[in-house]
Amino acid sequence: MDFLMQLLSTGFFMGIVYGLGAFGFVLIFKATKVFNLAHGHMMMLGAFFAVFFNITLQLPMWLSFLLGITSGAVLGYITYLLAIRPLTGQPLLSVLMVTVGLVFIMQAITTLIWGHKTNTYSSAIIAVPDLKIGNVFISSEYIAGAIIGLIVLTLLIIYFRKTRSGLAMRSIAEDGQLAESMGVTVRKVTGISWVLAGATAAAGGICLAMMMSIDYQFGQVGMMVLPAAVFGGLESLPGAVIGGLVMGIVSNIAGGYLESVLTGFLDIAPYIIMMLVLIFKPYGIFGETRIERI
Amino acid sequence: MKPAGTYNTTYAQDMAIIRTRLQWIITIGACLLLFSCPLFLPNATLSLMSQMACIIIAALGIQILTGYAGQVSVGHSAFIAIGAYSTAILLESGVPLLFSIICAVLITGIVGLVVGAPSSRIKGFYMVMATLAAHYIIIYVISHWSDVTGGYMGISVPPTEIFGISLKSPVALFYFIMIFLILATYLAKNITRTKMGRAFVAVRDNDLAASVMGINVSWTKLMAFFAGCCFAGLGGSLWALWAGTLIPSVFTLMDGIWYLGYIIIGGIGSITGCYFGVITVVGLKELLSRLLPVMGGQYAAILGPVTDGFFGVVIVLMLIFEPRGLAHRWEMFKAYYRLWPLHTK
Repeated sequence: MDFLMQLLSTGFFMGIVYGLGAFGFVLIFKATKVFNLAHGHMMMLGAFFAVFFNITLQLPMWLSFLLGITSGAVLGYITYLLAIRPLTGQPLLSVLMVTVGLVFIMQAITTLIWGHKTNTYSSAIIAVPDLKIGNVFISSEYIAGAIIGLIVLTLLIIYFRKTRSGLAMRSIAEDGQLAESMGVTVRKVTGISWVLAGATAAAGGICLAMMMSIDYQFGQVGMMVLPAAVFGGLESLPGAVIGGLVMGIVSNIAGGYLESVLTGFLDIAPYIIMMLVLIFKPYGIFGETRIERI
Repeated sequence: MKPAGTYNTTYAQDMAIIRTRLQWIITIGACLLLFSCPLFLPNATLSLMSQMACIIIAALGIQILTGYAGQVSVGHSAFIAIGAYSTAILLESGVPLLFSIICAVLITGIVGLVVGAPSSRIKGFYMVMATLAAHYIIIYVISHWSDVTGGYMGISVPPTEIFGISLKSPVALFYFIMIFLILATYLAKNITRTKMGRAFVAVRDNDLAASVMGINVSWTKLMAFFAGCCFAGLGGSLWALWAGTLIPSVFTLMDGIWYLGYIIIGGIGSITGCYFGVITVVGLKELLSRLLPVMGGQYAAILGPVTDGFFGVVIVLMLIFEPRGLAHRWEMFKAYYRLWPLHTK
């Protein structure tokens, strides 16, 4: 029982960070209808930016975190400018392929600059103590990651619901042409949504990297947010967070119990869960069923 | 765009793959040149060409599945693995070579049917994620079914012979693989001019309109998965013969995504595009791998990421500037000289 509780709690905290990553993915999809397959790698680059600030420049972790988020935002904007904006009006398959190309580029940049070394951050972002409830031990990195994740998520949700530009973003997700005729500059708002997505990806990446060490394979870990987003439904922002939570818990439990019997099951458990959900609910749990018109 | 002076007066002429006499001469000449390669090319080059042929056959599969039928699949590497492993296991059990290749192709096709089964309910990006899940699950099964597939250690492919000719030498293998390449290309081109091929394109362009026209969309999507994965299985079988040993870590997700890259660069929706894409990319990869070590020791270490990054940039640039790929450029070139000197700027 203790083992289960341990797995559940670790999974829960990791799940919040997965939820943050999935949130950024769904954010881009909602605003621009683009499936950003490179989201996992944007998370990885954001985490490596923090490695640069924290380990190479020896800055304190909280400052590296903020600078990492800013670099992630800049990365998001550069991606939009160079790879996404030139393809306005092209079929969505082309944009999907461009994100595939971005996966290659980002992986290459990471391996070229940071090599094959495994890096660990100097400390958790905020100083929280380790928790010990009964026999369950939760280390401070997990708690810090979850708290940061929740803060960022709350800020984003407030941004969407209360501010004008959040409203503008939701409106271009509904109908871009109509939003344009209402006075929303679609190009500017799309740029802002990519900036936000880049920053969110960086935040998620840094929190996730804080919980484990980070090396050049981190993009594969980051790619786990894709089944989380699909699981929750691509139109639903709360669905993304819930998807992330479920993925975190499931992969931890599967890893804990089945690791001795079926090694490596940890990696494919999220995909199996996602497939099971998709068979019964093809648009994810909270996704909107599409009404098709010719 | 037909050459000046040729007109289609019969249905057969309309549908012909090789239409004019000049095209026949060029095709037969190219085949003769291909089969006389072992006379003047070194064994290493023949081996590279055999590898390229396996990749082209698999790329034909992804072209049918993604380029013609519009079902984006990132799990192609796993299907190639199934073809390769099936061939190796069947050969190990003593099944004759041709029969094991055919069985491997069918096995891969059936697995493709299973993966493509939800494609009528799950659409668009969700299907991409389903193929991604399929890739991970298939590679996982291969890695862990140690009794049959040798797990992480892999298995070796026993040397084979066909009609009494041993296939151990690169030259014999070259001829064997090239025959399959020509047959597979003809088959793929044929598929695209049949009713099913036209149904693929209709489903890609607008599956709702296609169903209104009377096309059975679910059946078409299933057939697309079956055909695409059969080609992948064939490519995998020949790969097993070429490689000699198989380990699951060779069949990565990145490789599967590379196949999408091959057809993007070559041209989506065009069989010749497969050839352009694979030859360009694999040829450039070989070139880079020869060039970088020559430039200095430290450059050799960064070969992998530089190659990947370079082709990532190429893919992005191709999509921005020439989204229809190299095959489209080739068509434009042919149209230019066929229309010369009467063409608009």
